[in-house]
Amino acid sequence: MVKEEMIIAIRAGKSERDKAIKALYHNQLLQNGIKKIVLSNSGTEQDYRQILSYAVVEFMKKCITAPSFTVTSSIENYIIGIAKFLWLQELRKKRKDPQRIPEGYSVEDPSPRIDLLIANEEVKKSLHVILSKLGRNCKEVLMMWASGNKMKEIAKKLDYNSEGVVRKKKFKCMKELLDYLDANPGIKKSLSK
Amino acid sequence: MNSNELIERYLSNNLSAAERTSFELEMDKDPEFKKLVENYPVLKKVGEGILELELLNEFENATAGLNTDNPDKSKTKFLKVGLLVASVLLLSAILYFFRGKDKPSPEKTEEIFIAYYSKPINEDTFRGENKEKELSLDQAKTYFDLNQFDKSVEILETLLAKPSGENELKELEYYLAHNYLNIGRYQEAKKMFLSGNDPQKKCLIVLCDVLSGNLAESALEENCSAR
Repeated sequence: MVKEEMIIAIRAGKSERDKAIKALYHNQLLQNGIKKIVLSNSGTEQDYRQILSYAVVEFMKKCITAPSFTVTSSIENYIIGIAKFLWLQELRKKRKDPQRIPEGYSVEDPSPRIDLLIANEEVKKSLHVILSKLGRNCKEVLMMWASGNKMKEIAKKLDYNSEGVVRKKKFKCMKELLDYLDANPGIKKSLSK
Repeated sequence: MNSNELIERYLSNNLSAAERTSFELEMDKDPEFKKLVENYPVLKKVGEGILELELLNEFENATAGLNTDNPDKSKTKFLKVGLLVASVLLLSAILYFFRGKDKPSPEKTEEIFIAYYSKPINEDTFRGENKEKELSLDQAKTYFDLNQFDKSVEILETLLAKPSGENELKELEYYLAHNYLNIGRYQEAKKMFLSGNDPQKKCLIVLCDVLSGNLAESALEENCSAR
């Protein structure tokens, strides 16, 4: 799967995305690059797997939420760059100095910002709690809204009658969510950091 | 401009003064909208977080049970190894099955012959006594000694139809066997050796089978001693 096909597949929906995920998962360059970073710097096989999954998730999120997102170098280098960032962040948290971080992998423009929420365990836990409280429809609407879809697109993808229905649904879900966060300030605080 | 863009521009101070005033008037009129704007970053974060969890879930489901090897390469590798193993097994089976069925090449036959066969010596021939005898058996022996096997076989086969006694029969079989062996009629030679009393009987029978291609050469090592 070439670079452009990969990005198109990720944006196309779950079934095409599955193919892209499998291709990335079996990509030897990607595996070796991330292993080199994680395993040579106090990481375990489990750490490697987590960093690989997080880096791929971050890459897919970028593809989905930013319609103009492109990768100028190779996808492998881009994802290894994310992995490098995430693992260095993890080492800093553990107050460990990196020993052998290879040069040359960096997350280049136009999307240099890495803000993977689930990489923060506390935020991840809060998100799981919220997810368990939200209904399926709310989850889908909020997720698609956060993905940058317009109301018209959400209506089409989720089979709602009109944009107006989606707008109302979104507003209702947000209100429900805010009420929950007001009732659970600890969770709200963890998400506000 | 949709409300999300408007909120994002308001929060990032990217609205014009007129737009900002209008936006704040709207918030004042609608407390729920105001609350929504104030909590917009958290709401956006939750939406993005849900997307991340969903993508992580997709990743875990798509890769569950997979090893990290490239499936195509793995399949090919597995197939290649499988085919290689199957080929080796098949080849071994074929070789095992046919190991004694292919007749040795003429060169190999000669090599085996030289290594394991000793032609009986008829001392009378070398003493010149056979020339004087008119007995056909002796004539056949003489031809045998002179390596004229076809002529020897012709006489012996004629005599075999009417042997003069048990002893002659045994002698006829003995010489026929050796003649046959020397002219490549191995199975006929084997038949003669089986009924005869040649002291090297066991080895000669194996030799016939090896040269016929019915036994592997290794059988000779077990049953004969090389010359």
